[in-house]
Amino acid sequence: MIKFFLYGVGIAIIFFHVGEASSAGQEDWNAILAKARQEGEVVLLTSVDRTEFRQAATSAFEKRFGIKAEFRVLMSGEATAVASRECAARRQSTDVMLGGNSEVIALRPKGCLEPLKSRLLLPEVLDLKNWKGGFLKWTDPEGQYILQTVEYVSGTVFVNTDHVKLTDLGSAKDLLKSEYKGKIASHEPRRSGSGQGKAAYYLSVLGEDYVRALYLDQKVTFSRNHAQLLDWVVRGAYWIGLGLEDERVDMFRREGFPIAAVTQKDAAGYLSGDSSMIKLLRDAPHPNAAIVLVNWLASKEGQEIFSRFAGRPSRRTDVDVKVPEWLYPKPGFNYIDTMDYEYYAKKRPEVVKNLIQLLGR
Amino acid sequence: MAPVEFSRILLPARPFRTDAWLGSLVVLGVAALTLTPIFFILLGSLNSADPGETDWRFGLRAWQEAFSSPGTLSSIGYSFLLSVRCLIGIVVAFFISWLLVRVRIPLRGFIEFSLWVAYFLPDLPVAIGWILLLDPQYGLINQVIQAFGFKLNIFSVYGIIWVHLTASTIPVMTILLTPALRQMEASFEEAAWVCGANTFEAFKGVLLPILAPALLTVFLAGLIRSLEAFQIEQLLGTPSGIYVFATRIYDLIQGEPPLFPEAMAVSTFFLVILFMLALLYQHYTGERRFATISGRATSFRPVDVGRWKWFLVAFLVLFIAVAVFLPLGILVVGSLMRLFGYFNVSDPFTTRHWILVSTDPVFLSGIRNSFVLATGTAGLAILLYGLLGYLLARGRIVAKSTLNVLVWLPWAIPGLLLGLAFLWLFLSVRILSPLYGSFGALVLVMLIKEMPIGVHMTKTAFIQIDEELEQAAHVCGSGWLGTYWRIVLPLIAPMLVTVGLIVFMAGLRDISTIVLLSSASTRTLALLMMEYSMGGQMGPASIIGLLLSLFGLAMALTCRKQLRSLEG
Repeated sequence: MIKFFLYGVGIAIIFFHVGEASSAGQEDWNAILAKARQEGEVVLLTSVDRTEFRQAATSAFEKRFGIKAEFRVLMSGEATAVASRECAARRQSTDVMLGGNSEVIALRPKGCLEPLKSRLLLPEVLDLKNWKGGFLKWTDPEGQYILQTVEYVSGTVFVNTDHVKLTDLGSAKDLLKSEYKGKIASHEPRRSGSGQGKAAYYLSVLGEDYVRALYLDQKVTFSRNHAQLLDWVVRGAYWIGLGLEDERVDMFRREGFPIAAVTQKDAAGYLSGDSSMIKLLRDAPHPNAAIVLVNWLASKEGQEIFSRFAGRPSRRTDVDVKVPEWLYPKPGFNYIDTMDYEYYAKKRPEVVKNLIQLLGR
Repeated sequence: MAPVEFSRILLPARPFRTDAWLGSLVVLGVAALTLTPIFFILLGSLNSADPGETDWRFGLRAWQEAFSSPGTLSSIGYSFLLSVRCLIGIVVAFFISWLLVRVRIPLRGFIEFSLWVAYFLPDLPVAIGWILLLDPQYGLINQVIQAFGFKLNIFSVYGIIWVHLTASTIPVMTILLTPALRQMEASFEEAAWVCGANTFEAFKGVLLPILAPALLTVFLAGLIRSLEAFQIEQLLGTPSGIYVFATRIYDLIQGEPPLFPEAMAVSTFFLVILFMLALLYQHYTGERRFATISGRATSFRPVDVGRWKWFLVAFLVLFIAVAVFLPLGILVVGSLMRLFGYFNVSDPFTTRHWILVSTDPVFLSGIRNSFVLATGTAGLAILLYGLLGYLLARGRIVAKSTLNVLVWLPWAIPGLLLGLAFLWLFLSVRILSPLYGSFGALVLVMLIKEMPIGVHMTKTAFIQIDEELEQAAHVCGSGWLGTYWRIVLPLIAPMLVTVGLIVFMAGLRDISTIVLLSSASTRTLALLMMEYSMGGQMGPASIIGLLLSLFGLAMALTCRKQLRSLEG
């Protein structure tokens, strides 16, 4: 009897605290929203280069909160450089960053990022059942600065189906067949990008000999331009493409071009977060509007817009946007999580260094 | 015929005197603007701190990394091999300029106008257009000529040289040389003809030696810019393993995280090359005088070459058709294609890209921002470069040779690193910090970036004016400013307008120099084009490229009209 009584008290206390916290959270949110509206605008520094995303996101955010959102679009390296210099001078011109993961190395150790975890206030963002695996995914070791909202399989091999049967490339070793010599094209693996991601993945999983045999002996042709690379494969100038942009492949596939994804049992690909990392900058000029923006970016509405225009599957379980099927992890395959801090910050630089030495610059 | 000796050219002239303090002030000012980013680059290259570290730490790691790569030598080799285009370009451009100014041929206005069009077209869509035509597998031209047993490959050294020559090298060199030729007094060639020289001998013995400073300036400018170029090389060179030195800088900057110290160390290569070239230039032009406009008549009757004119005009029109209107057509058609370059899909044409661009909320502000930046920079450039050029040509100031070399320096730094240097400067120096994020910062950095070509071409124009004109004005009681305003400026107006237009176009098109310094409120059309290109949206990117070209052309036509009314 006493036991039941104690359970009852315990449950009541928990509910009381949750209710109190939720109520306090709502009060915090309302207060922040009011201040954010006074600030009037928020500036996002991003490497997400889809114009439709910028247009849809700024319009939806302004409509919902009455706060103007400005996007400053830069390449990943440039965005990091600007944020880093502004941080050193303590004169940020932007509030929030949305992009890749390099800030975990370049900005976080310098103290340029504000903790984001404690600024997530919207109940729909905090409700863990809305997120795959029942958790928010952080890419920093502290688990509070960089929020990853998208996760998908990258490094897929694409083939021109007029020349290659999908079943002919079931294993990564099939790429070494003599009939494919001079028929494989890749995005330049010696510079940052999807081609490098793919080559680094092969090096991690299949070793140096394989990478040498594939890229050097098979005489893989490199391109630094995604449109050009895809052009080669869909027109049949090259039969196999490595490091292609998924959403562009999907666009051509829907147009009826003979291009398809191949899953290789011994090298199925790796997990990436692309440009979905949300970061809150220290000394943000609009600190309250920045909190509203990061919450919105992680919300259902924000993720639906991101997922639709970036063509990536959100980690939110309530976002149902159609993306190409090869982006979803398949059961029974092993995938390296390249956003994991240990891999990204420690192993990846070594792998990339070895790769560049192997392929020569 | 031997080159004509012109005693008048070699006569010592009375230099324009300036106070020592004024000269020193100018040298110091230019040194501050040009040496500060160089200092930043050198300092940055000696930083061996890890990307996440806050403090600067001395070390040579970046230098070791930058120059230990086995591909360094090969990329330097390719950079110089591809710069051969400057030699070809200067020869062809001089010939075209000469035809346009000195020979009576039909369609001169149209040809000159078309070269401006070529210069205004953006590089990237033009290069993609050439791929559509000359890809060895599916290029449209290749499909036709393969029937006759021929095949051209755009992914080659000659492919890259061809695209550069047609898209920028020949057009810009012609644009710069034409006013210099137009400014040259006719009596020199007429004297040569009286002495029995034919057109070719007058060309070789008179024109070439007299126009040497202009030719050298244009050639050097082309050479330096060719060593820095990488966009076309990335697209056309990578598939064939052709890498240039500038590509390495780009890769290091775009790394995750970016490796700026290494990029800065690599860029010192340009500094060394540029410094040597600037010294050579100074050595050649410092001791000589090249006045070509005197107090006598400057009118010129174009040479009549008889039936040859039809052959010459056919050559020029063919060149214009292939180099200008073919890529321009591809750009226009590409902007209306659902999938850029694909004619075999159902409903290949669409107006979707035009709607996307025109309804983009940042499009209109982008137009306004581009015009503010381009006109602001061009206006100030005419004023500043005009004065600096005059000072270098006429002034007796301390450390004039140093000033000459200093003016070349901004081209030693790739645009993105120059922008990074000024980002650091604006954020670190309190007096400059109000400029950060404003148009003032963008105008300042563009003025510095375009200083080498602007000042040296203006100086060349001043050098061509014989000082007897100014001396006569002085004798008649005119002061320095009055003489400059009433005598000198009208004479060099064509060159100043050309320089102004080139700076205007640079302001419209520049991406790399201003990208780090712009803000959401100063975003230009070129930056919007970069955003479209990054996202692989070649249709919208082509539209912006097309619009930028049209704006440039509209400005060029307006200026030409004004210039003609002034001349009239």
